[in-house]
Amino acid sequence: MADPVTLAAVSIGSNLIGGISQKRAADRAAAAARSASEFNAQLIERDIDLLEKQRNIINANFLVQSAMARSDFERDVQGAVRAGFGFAGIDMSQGSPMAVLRTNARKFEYDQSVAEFNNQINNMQIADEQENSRLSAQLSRMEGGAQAASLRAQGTASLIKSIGASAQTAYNFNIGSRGGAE
Amino acid sequence: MRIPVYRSQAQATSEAPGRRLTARMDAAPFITAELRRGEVFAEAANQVSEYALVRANALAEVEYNEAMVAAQAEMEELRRSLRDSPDIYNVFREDGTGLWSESTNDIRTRLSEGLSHRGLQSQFNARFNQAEVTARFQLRDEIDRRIEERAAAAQARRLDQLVAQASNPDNEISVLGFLLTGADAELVSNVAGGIITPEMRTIVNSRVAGAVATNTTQAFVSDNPNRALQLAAAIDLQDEVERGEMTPEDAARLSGLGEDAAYTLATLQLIPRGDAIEILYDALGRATRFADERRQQEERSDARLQARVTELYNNAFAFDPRESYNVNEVSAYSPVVAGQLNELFGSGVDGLYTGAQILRAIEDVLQFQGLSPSERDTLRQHANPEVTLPFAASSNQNIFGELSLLAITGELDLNRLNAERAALTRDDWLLLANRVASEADSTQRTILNIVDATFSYNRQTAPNNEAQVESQAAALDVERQFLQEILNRQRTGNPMTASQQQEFANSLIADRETTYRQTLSRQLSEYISRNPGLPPLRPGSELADLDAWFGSLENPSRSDRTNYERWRFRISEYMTMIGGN
Repeated sequence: MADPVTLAAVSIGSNLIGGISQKRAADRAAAAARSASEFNAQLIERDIDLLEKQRNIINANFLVQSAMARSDFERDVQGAVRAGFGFAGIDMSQGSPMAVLRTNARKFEYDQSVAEFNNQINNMQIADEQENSRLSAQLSRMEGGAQAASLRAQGTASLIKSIGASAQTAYNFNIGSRGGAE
Repeated sequence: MRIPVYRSQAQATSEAPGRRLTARMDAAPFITAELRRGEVFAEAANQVSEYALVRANALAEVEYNEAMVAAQAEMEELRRSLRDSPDIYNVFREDGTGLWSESTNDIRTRLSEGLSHRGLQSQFNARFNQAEVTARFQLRDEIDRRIEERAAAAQARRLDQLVAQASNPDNEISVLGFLLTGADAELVSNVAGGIITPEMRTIVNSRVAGAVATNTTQAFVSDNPNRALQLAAAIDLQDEVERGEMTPEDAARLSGLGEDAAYTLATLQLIPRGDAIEILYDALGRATRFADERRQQEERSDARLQARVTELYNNAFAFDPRESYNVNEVSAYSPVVAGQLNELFGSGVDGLYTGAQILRAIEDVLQFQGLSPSERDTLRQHANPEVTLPFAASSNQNIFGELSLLAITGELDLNRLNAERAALTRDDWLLLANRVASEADSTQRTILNIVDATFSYNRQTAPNNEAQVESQAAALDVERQFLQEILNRQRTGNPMTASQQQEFANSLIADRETTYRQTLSRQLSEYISRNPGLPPLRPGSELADLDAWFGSLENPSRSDRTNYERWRFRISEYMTMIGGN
């Protein structure tokens, strides 16, 4: 039968091994948490690029639509007005035809301004979304870091606990102060 | 003319390309998996740790229990050894050190260091200290008691020395006061120191005075009963001595004592009158017994001498005056007679002497040992060849057989044997004569034992109370008369046969036994009357009445029990000796 000091030394060793094992497990869990948060952050950051592309498309579309509307307006509306008044022999440079053209032009400009305003609003929304995504990605990383830190702390606490218990056993059985297990 | 114009129908979509992915990775399963995986190994290690720790604690507990048992045993052994140690003053010292402290510290340190568990070491030390306190106080009581016993023994020795010094009747009276005052001063000091009580001082003083008076009186009286009686008379004058009307010396002189009795009287004056009378009574008894013993010793010495003379005289008749005998044969008979023969007749003829010469030498020797005229005449008549018949050449078997039968039954005496000597050879005559003597001796010893038993007398121990004194007196009285008669008969040439001895002893015992039992009965009555604490006891059933009285006590005190046992012992002794119970 082993003596109490030897058995106490076995207990101390096993306890320390258990604590170290828990610490390592906690570290691995922390790495998993950090990895998951990074993964999520990258997914979220992908939305930023996506929104940028949407912005480009919307802006391009707006320019195209605007050009097409201006062309259509000149050709279909003002052209028709000028043609009608011209066919009617009306001086185009004075009087009503001009007023009509001017009125049409003002309305067309208004529509264009509204469209541009809307386009700017869309750009602002996209910018907000991009900022939201950046913040979300940052938050995800922060959450992952915090969780990892928590898990590492949990592992460290387990290790400290096992070291404390081992130290108490070593003290009770006078191990260390008289040269270890006898 | 209206020229057809192509109008584009295409409409750019306002939808943005790409979809935002809402899928998110949940870290919890991965974290849980890692933690669970770590827990498995940690749990296994913890289980190993817990098991090893439980075993270690169990073994440490065993060590602790064994250490406690060893501590108890070693402390008990230490306590016993120190209890009997001659060096009792170093067991506990005033400064807290000492043999006990050093030894228990050694035991505690040694056993504690053998423990693996630090917590159990502390627990062991606490328990050890607790047990040590108990053992220490127990030992301290024992040591204190031994110290007190030593002190008491030393004081008792000093008192014994004082008593011995003060018990010399030749002392000056002034010595008595000096010694007793010195002893009392020490007792006063003890009272002041709280060692003894004032009552104890009184008791010790009283006992010292009693012992001095007893020893001095016994030494003064010694074996002279008259001195005891004279002292008793002087005690009667003690009142006048106490009143100062008479000095102890005058009292001694008036009572017939010399001045050498003054010191003894002074010691008797120290104690109560009743005690003094008791001491004198005891001294008188001792002196009387001494005197009796001395007288009996003288009687026994005379008896032995007389027995030798009688034997010499009787055996003289074995010598035929006409025969010749070798000097060696005479020497075997009696060296004294052989010496007398040489004195009278030289070395004889070829170492031979005639029977007549031998008888002459025997007469000369016996002449100095109290030979009576009749014995001398008988001896001279036997030496006369004209008168003395010779021994037969061969014995008459009928007569020899008849005489042998009488000898066996203890009824043959020398007169009858001598009357038949002509029919007997010398050897047969000697054989029968020796048988008569040995038979008588054997009977005599038996009878003496019977006498002792009858009177409950133990000659191996000295009597120590009045009943045993009476027992001794009765037994010795009967034995003295018995032996005296045997001697008388031997001196007259007619020794008692065994049957005659028995018959005579029976008559003596019967006469003395009546007086013996009456005396013991009287002593028993006196003893009962001397003890007023005794309950009423009816004559003949004293023991039963005493037992009934004690049995009726509901809660007998220690004093009741002691008195009962003392009374019962004495009364039982009386009843046994009287023979009633």
